[in-house]
Amino acid sequence: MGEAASPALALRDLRRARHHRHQADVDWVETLYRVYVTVLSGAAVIWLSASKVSDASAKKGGVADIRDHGAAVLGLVVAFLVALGLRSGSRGGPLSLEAADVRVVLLAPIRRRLALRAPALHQVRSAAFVGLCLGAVVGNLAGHRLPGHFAGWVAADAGFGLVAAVLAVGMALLACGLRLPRPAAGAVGLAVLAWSAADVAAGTVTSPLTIAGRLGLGPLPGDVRGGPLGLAAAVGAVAAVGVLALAIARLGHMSLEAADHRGRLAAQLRFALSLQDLRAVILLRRRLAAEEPRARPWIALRRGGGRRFGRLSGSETGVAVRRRGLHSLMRWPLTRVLRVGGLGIAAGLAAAGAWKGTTPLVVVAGVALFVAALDALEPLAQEFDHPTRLDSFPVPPAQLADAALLVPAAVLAATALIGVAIALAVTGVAAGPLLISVVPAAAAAVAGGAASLVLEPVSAAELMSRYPVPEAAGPVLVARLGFAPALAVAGWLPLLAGRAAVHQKVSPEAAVFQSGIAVAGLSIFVVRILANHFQRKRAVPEP
Amino acid sequence: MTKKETRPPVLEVKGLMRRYATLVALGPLDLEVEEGEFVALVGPNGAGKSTLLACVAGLLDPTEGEVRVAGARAGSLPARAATSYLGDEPVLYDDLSLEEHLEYVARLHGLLDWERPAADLVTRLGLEDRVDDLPAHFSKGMRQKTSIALGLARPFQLLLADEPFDGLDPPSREVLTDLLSEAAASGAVVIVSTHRLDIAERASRAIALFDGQITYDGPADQATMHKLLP
Repeated sequence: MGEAASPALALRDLRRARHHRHQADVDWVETLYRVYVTVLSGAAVIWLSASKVSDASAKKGGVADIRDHGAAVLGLVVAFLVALGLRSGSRGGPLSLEAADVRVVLLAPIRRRLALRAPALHQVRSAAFVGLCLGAVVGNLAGHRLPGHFAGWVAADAGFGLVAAVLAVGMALLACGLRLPRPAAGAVGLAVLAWSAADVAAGTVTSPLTIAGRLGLGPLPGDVRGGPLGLAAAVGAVAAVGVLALAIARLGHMSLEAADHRGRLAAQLRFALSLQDLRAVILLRRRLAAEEPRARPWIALRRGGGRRFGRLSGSETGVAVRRRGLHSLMRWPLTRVLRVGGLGIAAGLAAAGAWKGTTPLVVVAGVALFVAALDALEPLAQEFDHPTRLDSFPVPPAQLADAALLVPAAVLAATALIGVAIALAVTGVAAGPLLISVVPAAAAAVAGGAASLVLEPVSAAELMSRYPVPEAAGPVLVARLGFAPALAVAGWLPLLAGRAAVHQKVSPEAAVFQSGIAVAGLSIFVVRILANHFQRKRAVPEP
Repeated sequence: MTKKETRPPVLEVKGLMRRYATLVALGPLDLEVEEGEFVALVGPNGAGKSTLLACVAGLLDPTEGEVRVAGARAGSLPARAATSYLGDEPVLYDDLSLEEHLEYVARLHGLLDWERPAADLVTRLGLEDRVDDLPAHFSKGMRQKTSIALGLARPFQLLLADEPFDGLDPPSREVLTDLLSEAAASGAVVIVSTHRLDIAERASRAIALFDGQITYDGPADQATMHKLLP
């Protein structure tokens, strides 16, 4: 080596060499195919969102509401993203460095800020791109419904999405560089949220995020609360660039302990994602978020209790399994309680939206309850994680699975009920159909969650070897991946039956009830099939 | 005062304490290690050996107290230049060959003529036929040897090795012990955590930890090591 050995030069050379190697390894045909599929799916989503959701122009009152409160609501959205960023930063995020980079580069005598700048900027660019695209999609929707120039809406909302994304990632990087403790990050996040929420409630413009929110209302004509668009753009840009500059300046101060921990987990998470192993993804994500069960339960269960509950089912196994489920539930950390509660509210609001006419919102409602089910089914998931331990119990797996589903079903029903109650209070839609649909929705979410546990991940290559026609592997893989969440979405279909009954001048409650019984029965049937499938798989062959 | 007397110890630990939530994993403890010392760090599982080494390497932040390496705060730029850390498991790049690893680490540490010493090291560790291979495809022992080669290929005043003998066969253990002894003989401080009596006996000093506290700090003579590592 004739040149002076500069650590910075070595770092640059290595990154370039690895980049070139990755490029050389890329299968361009495969990449172009993926781009083609992504563009096609993206275009389909945009077309659906623009034309099928609802093309009806907003009513006069609605536009007036948007003028008065739109900026503050959008500011609240940014505040939520900022709070999420702060939370991530206090846990060592958002960067996920390679474990070897932490040990080799960050422990080498090279300025850490220099070493971290490139991955940090890469992350900011990625987030900015996603924000820009999502903003443009929202602008596309708004441009079809609201007054103002269509292109103006797309451009303004794309800009708003970009600012929101950069602010969120910038705050995460800043919290990480400042080594903000978790309680402090939580407190700052709550304060930012509370400030924006106060602007929404009082109809004021005090938070800078409310002013930045005005950017998302783009070319809306009239007296829009939040100030002129130019000011909003300036405030948003200054805030995003300022936070980012501060974050980059503090990058070198990040905790190596958090980076090391995160780097290892992120590598495992990527591997699990590549295998479509949802259970591993959930476990790793919990570890990344440092989501641990409570050391002390919310409520300590009485020793030897639950007999009466057990007698109802007529089995000692039932008592044991259900008490195990309750013990697990009582140790849920606050973050999980809040997450499941939030998902329940999202499901309720989406269901109310679907009832009011936006049919695709049943997908949102179903997916929200499905994600909640993945948390609620934790005790059963742990049994499936260790099938040899499950085999050691003198109980058929199907019987154990049956008993283990009661507590999650009750949790999901309660979650959906709370969500629906809040949605009823907010939207004022008819209570009966929504309340009845909670039962099939919860049953289908449990079935969907159980399906995701029982159906093991399968790769496209494995499927291709299984089918005589390799082209069949793609649709089968999609069906396999989509089956569990689709089941949960089906749980809300009785609501649509009820909506159709209104148009046919028939009692919607009766329609929801009848179709709800069918969906709940189907869910129970699916669970039985899945449990028997699992039992057959674990059965020891007779000699 | 002579020049040597004014030089700070290679490792200076003052009131070091590390907590994990409410659990005190280490300390408070004080420690000084002078150049050329070969220290065996012994103790049962959970005694705090790995935590101590990670705090000295700058990988973990102390909850309280201070760690200085060659007079600089642990984790600072000069301290990182002086400290070579071998963790309890090899952490390697998936897409770099052994030689590329060595070049990268050497250049990050500003070495100009790294090739010959690195080649010698690789030969002594029995990896000379695998220099162009990816360590991702190596066995556990070979990955461990790769990690050792990376730790020794760069300049250091303080070498921290967390159970480096795990996964090594007896000849490789012997080679590693020789390499560590040579590093100490050249003036570096070598601190090795181990459960192996045969290795600990080769050290010049033993430090025993139990529940995060130093319970013995003295010569690593045979009788003492037999007591500490039954």
